[in-house]
Amino acid sequence: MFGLNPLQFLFRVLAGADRPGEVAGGLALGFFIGLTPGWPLHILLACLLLLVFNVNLSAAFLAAAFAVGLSWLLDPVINALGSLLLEDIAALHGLWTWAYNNPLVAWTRFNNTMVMGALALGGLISLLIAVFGTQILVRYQSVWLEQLKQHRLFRLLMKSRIGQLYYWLSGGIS
Amino acid sequence: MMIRKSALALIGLTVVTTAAGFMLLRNSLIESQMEDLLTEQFKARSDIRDLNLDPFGLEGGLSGLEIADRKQPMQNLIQTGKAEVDVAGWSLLRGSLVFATLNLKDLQLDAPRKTSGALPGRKAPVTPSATKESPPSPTSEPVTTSKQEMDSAPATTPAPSTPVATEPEPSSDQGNATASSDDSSVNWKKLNDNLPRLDLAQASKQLNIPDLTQGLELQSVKQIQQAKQQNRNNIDSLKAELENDDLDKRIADTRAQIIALKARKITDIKSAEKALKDAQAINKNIAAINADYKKIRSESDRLIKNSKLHKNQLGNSIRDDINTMKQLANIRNINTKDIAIILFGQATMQKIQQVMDYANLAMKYMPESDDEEPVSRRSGRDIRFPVTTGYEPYLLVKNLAFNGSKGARQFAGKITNFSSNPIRYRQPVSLSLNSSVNRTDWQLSSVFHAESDARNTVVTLTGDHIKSQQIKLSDKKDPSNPSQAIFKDSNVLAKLDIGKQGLSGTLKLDASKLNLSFAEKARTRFDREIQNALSKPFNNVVLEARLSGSLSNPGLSVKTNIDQQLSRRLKAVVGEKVAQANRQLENHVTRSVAKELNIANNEIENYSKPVKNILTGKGKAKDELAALQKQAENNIKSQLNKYKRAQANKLKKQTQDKLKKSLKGLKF
Repeated sequence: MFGLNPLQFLFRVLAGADRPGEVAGGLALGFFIGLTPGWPLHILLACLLLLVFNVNLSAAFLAAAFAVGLSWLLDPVINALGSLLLEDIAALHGLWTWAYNNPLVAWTRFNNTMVMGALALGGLISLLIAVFGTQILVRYQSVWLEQLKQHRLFRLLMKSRIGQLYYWLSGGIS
Repeated sequence: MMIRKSALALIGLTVVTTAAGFMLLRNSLIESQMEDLLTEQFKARSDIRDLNLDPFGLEGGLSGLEIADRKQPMQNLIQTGKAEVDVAGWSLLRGSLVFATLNLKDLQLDAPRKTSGALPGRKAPVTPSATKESPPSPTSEPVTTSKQEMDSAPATTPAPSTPVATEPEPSSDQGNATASSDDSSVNWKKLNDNLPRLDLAQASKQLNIPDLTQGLELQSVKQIQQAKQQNRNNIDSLKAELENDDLDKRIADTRAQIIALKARKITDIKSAEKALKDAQAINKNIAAINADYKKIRSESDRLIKNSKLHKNQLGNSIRDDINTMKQLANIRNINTKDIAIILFGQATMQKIQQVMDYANLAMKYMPESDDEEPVSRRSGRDIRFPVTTGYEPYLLVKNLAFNGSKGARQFAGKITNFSSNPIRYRQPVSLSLNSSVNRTDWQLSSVFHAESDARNTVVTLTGDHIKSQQIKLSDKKDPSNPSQAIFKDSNVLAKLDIGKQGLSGTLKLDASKLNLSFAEKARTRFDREIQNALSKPFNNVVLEARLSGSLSNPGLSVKTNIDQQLSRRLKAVVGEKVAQANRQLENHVTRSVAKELNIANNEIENYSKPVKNILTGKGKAKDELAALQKQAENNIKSQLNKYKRAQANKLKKQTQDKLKKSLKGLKF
């Protein structure tokens, strides 16, 4: 109902059918949600944002799935980053102590090295996705896609069965 | 970016539905969550039959709370009837089960279950009782008197039947804080059984010096016997020396020379001169023999004389013997320390056992501490920061009231701030407990601070005030007419450390009054005097007991001031008796020493007789030698005189003949 088919979403993006801002927003939120283990408070808030704002849900799901796998692989790095922020930077201890004693903030489980690492890394990458992703997608739709369409190989492919499949998956946009 | 109005509506709908659902299903939901939390904390199946809470305050009642014993899944750790609860809903949402109040009624401990309470996939932990062999009988256990190390008085010789406390045997489960209560109660009973029984008849026993001194070895007598043996050895050496010396040979040789001299014939002047010369040489030999004999004789006489023992040679041994005997007589007969230990040992054991039961109870029913979960992939590690505001453990009962039973024992009590993490929660835990079984009433109330993790490392219980109105102690020998020791207004200070390193603690009993009453009837005036002296109340009695070993295998040692008080009382009563006994003891020692000296000197006298005989023999031989020499000299002298006379006669005749011849030519 929300266009959950990730493959279809991918082709729609390739075909330039979706709005770049919505796609980038979905990707950023999805990545942020997927990178953090469990359901701490800030992730629930991110989910609410995902539902309330008109971002691309397919992009979010795809990004979340990708981020889950990535966080599994990067577990030691994320843990080390969380540990660095929580334990090694003395200047932050005051902030963490305040947060630890604040029941609402404590629900974020920020004191967990994995959660903190994911929050920092996911926050940074999501921000980059949100900012640069939009620009990249705009440029893709306005410049790179047009160049691609002019390519001989692309035109040959579009005339073949693959082209028909692409046409169908991208929702009739060519 | 647009807002999805439908999503907002959906979220709002979800919140309203959840709230409504919670209102309708709150009891089931909370019941389920409470069961999960209790199951997690106690690591065993926890069930609540019915829960009925007020939707806003979450106050209400529950019934049929059952928490299985994870070590013995076929019985319940706790089973309650109805209970009044006040659950903190906000904490529940955060995953903590916090009871503002919890009143448990008809609490039953160790009640059997119909089904196993073990959690699927979890094995019941092996209890020490399952791995240990049954404990040895009290009689087979090595017993040490640890009072000796604690008493300030000199080392005593306690009667064999009055050990005070047992030290724990080395055990593989030493210090296992979660030892089963059954196992530990067996050991406590064993320790209690090994305490001496009250025997007040001992206190009034007459002083009987022969009985007291029977079998005791006096040091002075021992010294006499050692000296006697030394002297015998010296005499043996002298005897061997006398038997092996060359004096006899020299006497024999000289004797032969004298005999030869005696037989010699004086035929001319030369032989006479030679005989005289030999006689002079023999005389020199005889003089040397006489000198040597005199020397040997004087040395031997001195040694034999020194072999005789005198009383003044024993120095301070006799005085020491008298003192030792007095000390032993006092201890063996009056035995105040043993009486004190006997009296207080029993009371201490009962009190300590109660405290230990309490500790055991607390340990057993303490929920699992808030352990850190093992680290796995994507789980991370929780970093703890200083708690500046209120911390909430996963399980907390701010006010817990309970009443119930365990076997024949009825109990009721209150606990405050009972939590799964008392160290972090930092609030002092207080407990008051009333329990009664078989008319032995006792009451405990204490406030303690958990200083470390109760389950995993060590629990320290500091009882600030465990008061007892009265502790009654009865001699078990005659239940119908017992001797009794009653401690009044006693105050007990207890500090116990229970953990993997073992059990250590001190328990101090401070009683304002102690009354003793006696079952034995006084047979003599002296008995009566002693009983009267001991029947007056003792004031400000202090008893200190030290615990060691482990919960399942405890050790105990005792220190008290009661022995001094008893000693003073008894001294006043038995003063004259003691003085008389002291005199008897002095006489006994002096007589024993004199008798032993006499025997020793007679033995030495007899033993030195062969030596004297040898010396006499040598003296006789020497004297014979002188007589023989005299005879030989006389013989030589007479032969010489005869020869001289013969020569004179011969000369005279020759002269006469010559004159006659000369005169024959002359004519007158």
